[in-house]
Amino acid sequence: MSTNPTAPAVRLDRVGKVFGGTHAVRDVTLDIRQNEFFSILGPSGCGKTTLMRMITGFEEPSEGTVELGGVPATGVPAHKRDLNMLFQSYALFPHLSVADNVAFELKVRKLRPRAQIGDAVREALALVRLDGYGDRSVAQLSGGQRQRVAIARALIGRPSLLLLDEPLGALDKKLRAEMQLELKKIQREVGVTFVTVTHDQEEALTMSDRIAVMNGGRVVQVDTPEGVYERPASRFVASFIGTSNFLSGTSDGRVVAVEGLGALPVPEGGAVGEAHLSVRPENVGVCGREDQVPPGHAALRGVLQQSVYLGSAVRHHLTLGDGGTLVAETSSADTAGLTAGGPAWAHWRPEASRVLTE
Amino acid sequence: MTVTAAPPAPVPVPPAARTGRARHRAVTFALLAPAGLTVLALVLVPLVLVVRNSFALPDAYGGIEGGFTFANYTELFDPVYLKVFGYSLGMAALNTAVCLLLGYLVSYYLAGRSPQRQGLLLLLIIVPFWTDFLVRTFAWINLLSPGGPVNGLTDALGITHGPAQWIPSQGASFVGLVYAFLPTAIFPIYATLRGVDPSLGEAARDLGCGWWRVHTRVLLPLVRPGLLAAALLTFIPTLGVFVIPVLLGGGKNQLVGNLIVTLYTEFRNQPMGAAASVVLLVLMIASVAVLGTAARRLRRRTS
Ligand SMILES: Nc1ncnc2c1ncn2[C@@H]1O[C@H](COP(=O)(O)OP(=O)(O)OP(=O)(O)O)[C@@H](O)[C@H]1O
Ligand SMILES: [Mg+2]
Repeated sequence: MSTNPTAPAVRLDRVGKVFGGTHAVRDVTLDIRQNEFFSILGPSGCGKTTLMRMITGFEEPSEGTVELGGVPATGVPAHKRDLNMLFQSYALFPHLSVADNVAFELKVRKLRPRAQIGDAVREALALVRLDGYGDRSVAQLSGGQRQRVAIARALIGRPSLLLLDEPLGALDKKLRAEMQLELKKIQREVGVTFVTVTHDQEEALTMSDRIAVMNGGRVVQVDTPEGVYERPASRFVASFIGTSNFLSGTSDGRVVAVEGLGALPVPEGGAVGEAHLSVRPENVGVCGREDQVPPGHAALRGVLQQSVYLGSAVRHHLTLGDGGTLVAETSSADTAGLTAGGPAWAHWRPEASRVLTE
Repeated sequence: MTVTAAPPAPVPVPPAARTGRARHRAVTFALLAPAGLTVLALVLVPLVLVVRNSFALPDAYGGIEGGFTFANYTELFDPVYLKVFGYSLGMAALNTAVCLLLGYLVSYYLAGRSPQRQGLLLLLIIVPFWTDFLVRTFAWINLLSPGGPVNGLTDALGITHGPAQWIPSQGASFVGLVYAFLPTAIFPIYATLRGVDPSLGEAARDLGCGWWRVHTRVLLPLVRPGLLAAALLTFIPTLGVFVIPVLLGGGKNQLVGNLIVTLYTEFRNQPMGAAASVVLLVLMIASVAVLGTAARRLRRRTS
């Protein structure tokens, strides 16, 4: 399949997939740019794998179209698509040595003359820092090493796109953090578009250039890591990525009136009508007296239930006038003048809050 | 009150324990005896007799005269008999090849279905196993009879016109063989294939393999142990089959099994029948050895 270098690596147009009457994926429209590190993030069962399998060609969409590099992919079988996939289980061939696994695509697609395969394999193993492992059998490798072999195998044919399904899911925590940076480095080195699937928000934030957040088969927001974190488009995104406090009320574009609590200023130009004010705990400050609230801040009076010491921060749980709770995280130094069971004021800069209508 | 310390005595095995162990051994023997005697009476004794008889001279009335000769074996080198052995080996090989191919395809199909569907289909394969073998072979006589169901189908498709005489024939006999051994071939292949991670097939496709190469490069090499087991379970019993060629093949093209029956009954030449049996046994042991070695080598390489 020849592709157009200026077209998006992947273009999904109103793509849907129905399994026996239920929509696993619905109405997904999305462009993935050339050479970007793109993540699909969402809770379990939201359709991430299904979406990815429609890009690889293992599933045909029930609705809509998939374009790869500007060329419609409808009806193009998986083995004729210029992309590779990194399987969650790695799917290394147990009957082949490490070198034969890595060389597999070159041999099958006849991408290189036989004499050059050895060099290409050494180069690919060097890329994943597994020099000299070629003669090992796959069974002799650790989980992390297997994954590196799988990466070398997937990249040796220089696909224009690499899809990774939960690439770090099977690794332990320490190795995972290491591989996050490593994957990012490899991606920059080879200049291939990476699309990863994950349900780990931290992983998506760390590695990605852009993130598509999915829920219930739909893509609910596509943005940079900062974008989805700082400017979540919905309550779902705000609570799925990081944590948020939500206060429901009515917005007039400048303040949100919350019943029983009063009017809270919000950034200008927000939505009007029924809305949720969302503010992240780390943006909320706490003080013991009203006169300590910095001028211009939105403020709420409550009762401090407890303060939990977290090391780098202290987490305060407040009960508000309407019975709801609010969580604030402040740096350890700010705890003076607060007593559990006593009155407390929670406050934040209006710009740190968001007005969400869904 | 005085306390006398008993000298620390060495701890001998108390006689009770010794008799206990002996009793234990006796019980083991007693429990094994029925099975052991059965094997002795029904396997070893006949085997020894057959081997002995294969070197004996026949008497004029179909009995054994005794004595010692290699003639029974040298006579088996007669082209008439050699042809039967050759034909049997060929049939067994062909039957094994067809059963492996069909068994693999069926297993591949099965492994790709949902778990409930797999259970149902497997049951459909197993159920005929519970029916008597003879009955199932007779069923094929009905199925393949002139104007029978298969004939009706081929008529409808325009392949045949009117009643076709398929029984007896080599073809019908071969159909019977494949039918009889296919389930035996399916089970080990299916069991091995089920243990293969389905994402391996997808990985192969992802890396550029079309349908054919997914099988030749990845799946078939991975199910080789299952294929070997299936070959063993198909090839060897096929060598000894004799009912199917009689019922479906008309007994014209004989297998070794039929030859042995003929030698014993029609020719009333027990020593030659015994010699043919011994040769068959040696052929079977040789195939077990060959296939078994291949399996062992495979296991060593992949472990
Ligand atoms: N082959 C299939 N047949 C029927 N339903 C399916 C099939 N594959 C997926 N589904 C359904 O589609 C929905 C989405 O599944 P999918 O595997 O895409 O989720 P996911 O986001 O990858 O979840 P996870 O994070 O758990 O891997 C699920 O409800 C699942 O049960
Ligand atoms: Mg998934």
